[in-house]
Amino acid sequence: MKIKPKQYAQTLFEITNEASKDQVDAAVEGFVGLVAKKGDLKQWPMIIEYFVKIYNKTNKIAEIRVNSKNKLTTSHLNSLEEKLKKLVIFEGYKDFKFIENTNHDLIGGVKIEFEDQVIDTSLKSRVEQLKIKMSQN
Amino acid sequence: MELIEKLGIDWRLIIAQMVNFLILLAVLYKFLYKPVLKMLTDRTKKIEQGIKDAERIKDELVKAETQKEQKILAAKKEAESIVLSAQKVAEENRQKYLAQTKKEAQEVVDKAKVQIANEKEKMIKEVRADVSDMVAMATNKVLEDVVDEEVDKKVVEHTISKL
Repeated sequence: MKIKPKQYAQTLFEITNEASKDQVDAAVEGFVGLVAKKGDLKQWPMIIEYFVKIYNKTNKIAEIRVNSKNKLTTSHLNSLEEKLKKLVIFEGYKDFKFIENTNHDLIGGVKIEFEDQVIDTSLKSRVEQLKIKMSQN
Repeated sequence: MELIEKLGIDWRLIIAQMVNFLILLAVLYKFLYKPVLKMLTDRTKKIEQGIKDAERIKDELVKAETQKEQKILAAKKEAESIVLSAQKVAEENRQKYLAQTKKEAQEVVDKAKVQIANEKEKMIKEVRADVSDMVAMATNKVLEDVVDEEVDKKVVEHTISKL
């Protein structure tokens, strides 16, 4: 029976969660061997991706991708974290992990991605909204 | 008798002549008068019959003529009635066809109006889309030039404050 990456990730999380560092190393080594035996090593990137999601969800860590034209300052990130904590979608989350990404196409402002939610306040998106409004009126 | 003799009349001759006359009369009566009379009577009867027949034929001719005229009149009346009826039907069909043609023409006009309105709306939409594309492009271009690091910082701060 074919094992899906999500199932692998869940298994990996269960064997590494609440384990000590030495135990984790041995567990991961054994796990990788198992995946290789099954011939599913090519799914490894996806397994890791799911693992991170499961880990973050379990530990109430919000992994947020922040896109901006220029790199944000620490002050910006702190202000952003404060603001995000107040939003309903981040209710219950204890920690915020920002993955920063610069993108000149945004022109200005920020675009925030969390799981399947997107908060796009970039200037590019604003111009796009303006364009849509103009074409409708 | 002596007187008759003195006159030179022979009574025996007279009697003989009288007898001869009678015999002649009888013969004539039997062989001439009767056949001729019969012939004349037959002819008269024939003529009378002929006259009767002629009159009968004449009456029948008149009757036939009258009947013919009556039939002709009836046929004329029927023909007139058929013509009238056909004219009425033709007129009704003409009116129906006219109304149908008018209706179809109106439908074509209405359809064309709707099509024109739709085309107009479509064109307006396209023009709007083109204009908004151009405005967006121009705005992006301007912003790319205007938004430097400093401006972007301010934009980011403003954006975060509005979250």
